[in-house]
Amino acid sequence: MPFAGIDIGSLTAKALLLEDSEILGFKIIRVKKTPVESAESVFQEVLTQIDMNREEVKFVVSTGYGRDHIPFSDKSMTEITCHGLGAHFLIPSIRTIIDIGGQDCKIISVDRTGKLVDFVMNEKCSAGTGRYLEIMADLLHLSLTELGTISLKSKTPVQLKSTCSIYAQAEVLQYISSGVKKPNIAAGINKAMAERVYSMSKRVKIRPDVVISGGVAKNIGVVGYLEDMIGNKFLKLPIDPQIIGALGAAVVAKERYSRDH
Amino acid sequence: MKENNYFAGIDVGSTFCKAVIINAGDNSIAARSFSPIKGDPEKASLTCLKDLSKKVKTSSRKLKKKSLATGLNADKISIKEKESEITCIGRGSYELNPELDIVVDVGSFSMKALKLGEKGKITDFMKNYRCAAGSGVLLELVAEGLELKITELAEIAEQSTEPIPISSQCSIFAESEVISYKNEGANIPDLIAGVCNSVAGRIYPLVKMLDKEAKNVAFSGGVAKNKWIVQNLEERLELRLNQLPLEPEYVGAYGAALIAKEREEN
Repeated sequence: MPFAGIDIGSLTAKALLLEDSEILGFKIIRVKKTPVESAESVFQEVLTQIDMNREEVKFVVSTGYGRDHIPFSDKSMTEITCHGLGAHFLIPSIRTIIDIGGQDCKIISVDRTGKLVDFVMNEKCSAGTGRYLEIMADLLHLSLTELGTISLKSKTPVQLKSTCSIYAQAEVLQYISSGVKKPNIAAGINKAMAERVYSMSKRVKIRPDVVISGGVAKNIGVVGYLEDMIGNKFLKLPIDPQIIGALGAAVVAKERYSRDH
Repeated sequence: MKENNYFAGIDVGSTFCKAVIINAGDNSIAARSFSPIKGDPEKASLTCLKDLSKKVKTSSRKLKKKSLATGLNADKISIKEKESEITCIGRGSYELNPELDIVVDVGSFSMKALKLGEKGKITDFMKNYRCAAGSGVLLELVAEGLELKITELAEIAEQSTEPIPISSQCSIFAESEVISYKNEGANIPDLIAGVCNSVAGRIYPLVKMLDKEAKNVAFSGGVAKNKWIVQNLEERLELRLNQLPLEPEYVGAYGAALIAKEREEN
């Protein structure tokens, strides 16, 4: 029996279909004008992709910032819970999930069953979120992935003094106009980003195994710096890390349906 | 005939360089100039100096020696004499109005309030150090996002009947919030009025924290040119702001010029 998880974030919308312990398919799209439109299109796209009718899906769980606006969803669940369950579904030894989305950053601690133990979250300040990296990548005319790869060439990263995205942006502009090489600027940006995330780990203990999710996981520069700071290698998720929330939502859908039937 | 004795104050901010030249005799302003920073503070400050010296017919090299720099980027330029923004704003506003209790200054990146005591002495101040929320950058971002000029915002806000509250604290997130409201079809004047109110709402506590009883309050810095924000701040403070007899963004530069003169005299 197929189940669906829909994750409507601030920048991307994700949908995933799950049957037993098998992922049938998933889709990630850029958000549309409203959460409803985003949810409709991403769900339809994943169904089309695996050639399935909407009626065949037994239960739909939505998560993410737009989770409460989705008409075809049977239940909504916080992204914190979904992330924990999604990561645990893939790697049962997971105890900590660092999730960096477009507009927030969270560190989630789970137990042996994937259940939430504790979490810390920043959604007030854009520093330390995916948005910070987006702004910086734009300034350097790089993609988010390139911002990571190019920084590996740097031996002398610049030091960004500001935490605030606005102030750091001005610092980066001055480095650019004074002719500092892109890899050094990119490395400085990734390092500052990692420091910001690491500073949150004072509030929630990071226990191994650790996994990183959200779009930022694709930036190998940030990932490398963060691993050094934490002193642990992150485990790699055997799937696009952006889809974890939707996967967790589908896991909830499956559990909820089995409980009620 | 004795040559005029001039001093210059150069305020190298985050976005613009503002410069003022004064007559040493009566502290009156002989000329003003401004230039965008565009990543090169030194160049912007020299552009201002050249422009000023042309206006009063003196050499810019001579003038540079009688200049004092202030502002966020003051340490990045070659003018030797420097002073903090707080001190310069305090000095400038005291000269413009000796009765002031509080001056709030909001620029593109910065937001500060200072308390003036006897003879213009700064007795206390508050400043944003780590976060741009409340500064003018939000107005820049929103103007850009809505494809408007920053100078048009207050006028457009005048047509608002029900300002839309902006919930994000971070300027970057607030801009995204504004764009999503716009995409949902929100009334643009209501949106802009909401943005302006949110800026005023962040300035207000600075004043109150410094002095609950403040009567004579002045507002300087580029953001003070936005009439809607001025009005909204007045409503929150329940008083009329004192009008300074100088464009608000030049107050720091004016203070810098006065300090340049006083340093030479001592």
